[in-house]
Amino acid sequence: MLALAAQLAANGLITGSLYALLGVSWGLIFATTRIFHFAHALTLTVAVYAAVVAVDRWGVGLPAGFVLAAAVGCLFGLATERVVYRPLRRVDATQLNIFLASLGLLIAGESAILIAFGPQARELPGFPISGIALGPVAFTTTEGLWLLASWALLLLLIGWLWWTRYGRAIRAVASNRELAQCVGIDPERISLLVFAVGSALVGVAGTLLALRDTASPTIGVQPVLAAFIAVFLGGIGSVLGAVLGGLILGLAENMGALVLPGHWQGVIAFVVLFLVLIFRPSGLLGVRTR
Amino acid sequence: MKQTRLWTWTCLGVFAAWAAVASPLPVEAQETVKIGMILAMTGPGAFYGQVMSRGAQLAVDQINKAGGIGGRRLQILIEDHKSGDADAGVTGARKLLDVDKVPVILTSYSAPTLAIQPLAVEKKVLLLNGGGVGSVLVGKATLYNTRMLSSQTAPFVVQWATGRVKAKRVATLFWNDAAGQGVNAAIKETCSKFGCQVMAEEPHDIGAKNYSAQLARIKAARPDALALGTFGDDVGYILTQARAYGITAPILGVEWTPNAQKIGGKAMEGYTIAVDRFDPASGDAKTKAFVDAYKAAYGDVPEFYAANYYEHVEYILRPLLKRIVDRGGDPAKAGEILGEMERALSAKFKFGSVYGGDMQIHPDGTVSKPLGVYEVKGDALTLVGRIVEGKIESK
Repeated sequence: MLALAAQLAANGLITGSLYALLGVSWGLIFATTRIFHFAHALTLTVAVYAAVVAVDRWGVGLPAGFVLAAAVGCLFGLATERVVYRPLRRVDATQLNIFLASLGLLIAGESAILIAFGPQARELPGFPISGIALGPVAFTTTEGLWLLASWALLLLLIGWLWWTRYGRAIRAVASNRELAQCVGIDPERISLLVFAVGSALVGVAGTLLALRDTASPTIGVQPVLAAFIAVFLGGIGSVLGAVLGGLILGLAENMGALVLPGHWQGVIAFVVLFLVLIFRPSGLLGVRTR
Repeated sequence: MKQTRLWTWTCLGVFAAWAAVASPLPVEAQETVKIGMILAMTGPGAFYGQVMSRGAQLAVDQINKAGGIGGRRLQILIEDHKSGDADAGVTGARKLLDVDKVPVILTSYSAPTLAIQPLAVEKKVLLLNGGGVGSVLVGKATLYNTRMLSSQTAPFVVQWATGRVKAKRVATLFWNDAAGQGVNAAIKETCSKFGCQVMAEEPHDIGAKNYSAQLARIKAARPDALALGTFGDDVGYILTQARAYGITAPILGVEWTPNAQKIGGKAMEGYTIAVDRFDPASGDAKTKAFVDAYKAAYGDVPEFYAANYYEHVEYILRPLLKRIVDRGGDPAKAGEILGEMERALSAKFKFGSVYGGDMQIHPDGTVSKPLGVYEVKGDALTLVGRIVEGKIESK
C-alpha cells in the first residue's frame, strides 16, 4: 500500500507540474484580458503539429522542435488576439460572444487540422523513452523531462513577472486595468504580450505532452481543461495560485486511485474544483472580492 | 384581374407539364442502392472511421466501375458516431433511415451498434458490424457481426495465460464500454474455469493516453499476466507505459494494429493476442487482390478494419443484391436485403474471405473465421498457436 501511495504521489507530482505550466499559460491571458480563451487548445495543437512536421518530416532536432513550437504558438496566439478578439472588443462584444468565437475557432481549427493531417496519431520522435526506477517509484524519461522542463519554465516566468518592467506591467493590468492605464501602461500592448508569452508556453507544454501522447487533432482540449481547473482552483489572477492549483489537481487525480479505480481521475478533478469553489469561491490564493 | 389569374395558372400548368416531361429523375438517382455507414469519423477513433469507410468505398468503386449490380449502382452515405457515442449513432441512424431510406447500414463500435439495432428492426434494415466486439452483440435481430466477438476470442487469452505463462494471478485493463467490459467478463469467467484469479480490474476511457493510475494499481496487485480488453492505438500507449513503469509480466490481448505497433515500438515485443487475424502479406489470391487494389487507391497497406468493411460490400452485399436483382426485386426497398440475408443464412452463408480461408456467418449473428494466437516478434506478428476446436495447438 505504501509503495502504491508513493507511486501515485510521484505520478501526481509529475502530472501536476505539467498542469501548473498549462494553468499559468492560460491564467496569464485570462487574468490580464478577461478573455475566456478556449482556443488556447488550438494554439497548443497548432504548435505541436509544427514541432511534429519539423522533427518528423524535415529531420530537425527535437530541441529545435521545441523552439519552433514556442515560436508558432506565440505567433498563433498573437494572430488570434489581433484577428479574432480585438475586432470583437472594438464592437463591444460581450464576454459570452468572445467565448463563443473562441470555441468556434477551436472547432474549425481542429477540423482543418484533421483534414490537413488526417486522424491518425503522429509520433514526435527524437526522445529516448525508457523507465527510471527510484526505489518503489518508477516513471518514464518523458515524465522526468516534464518535471524538469515545467519547473524550469515556471521559475523563469515567475522571475520575469516579478523582476522585470514588463512583468510588473502585466501584474498591474491583471490587478487593475484602469489604474494601470492611469500610470501609463497600455493595456492593448500588454494584452498582446500575454498572448505571446502564454501561447509560447502552451506550445512548449503541448510538445512535452506529445512526447508521450503523440499528436492528434484533439490533443489540445483535455490539457487546456486541466488548465482551466488549475486556474480556478488556485485563484484567478494569481500565478502562484495556478501553480498550486495544477499541483493539487495532479495529486488529487492520482492519489484518488488509492481508493477508486484509475478511470475516476476526471471525476475527482471536478469534485476537487467543486469543493474549492463552494468553500473558497475566489480560489485558494485568489483575492476575495466583495 | 380574372385574365391575369387565368394566365398565371396556364403558365404554371405548362411549366409543370414541361418539367415532368423534360426533366425526369436522372437514371443514376433512380437506380442507386444506398449503403449507410455509421462510423467513428471524429474523436479518438477517427482512424477507424477512415479505414473502414475506405474499405467499403473501394468495393463500391470496383462494383460501380464494372457497371454496378444488374445496372444498379451503389452509393455510400456516412454518418458519424463520434467514436462510440450512442446518441450520435442514433441521430445518424435516424437520418439514414428516415431521410435517405437506406436498406442496409454498416456499423462499428458496440455501444452505437446496440443503440441503433431497435431502429433497424423497426425499419427492416440489415445491420452489419465489422468493428464492435462486445458479446452483447450476439443474438440481436437484423444484426450480423463479421468480427469475432470478445466472448469468442478472450477465453483463448486465458488459455494461453494459464497454459503457457502458468499464470495464477491475472490483472485486466479494458475499455470502459460494452466491448471492453465484454472482454473483462469473458476473462473472469474463463479464469474461474482454468484456475486463475483476477486480482485487479481496471477500466479506462476509450482513447486515453495516460494510464499511470491504472498501471500503478495493477503493479501493486503483482499479477503473473496482464490481459487487455483494449483496442486500436490504446494498446501501444499501454504497452509503452506498462514496461516503463516496471511491469514485467506478460501482456496479452485481443487486438493488434500496425499503428499501435508504431506507437508502442520496442515495448510491444512479446505482446500476445488471440485474434481472427488479417495478414496483408498472406499469399491468398483474394487477400492479394484486395491489398493491391487498396494500395493503388489509397497508397497504404490495409489493416483488418478496412478488410472487414470491404468484405461487407464485396462478399456479403454484392451476392445478396445480385440475387434480388436477378429475381426482379428492388434491393432499395425496405426489408429486401434483410430478407435475402436471412434466406442465405438458412442455407449456410459461407464464402471465401479476404482473410484467406472461409468465413461463415451464423444465424445468431456471430461469425467463424480462422483463429490463432500471435506474438509480436520484431515489429510484426508471428503465429505461435493455432486454435482448433476450442483448443490452442502449438504451431
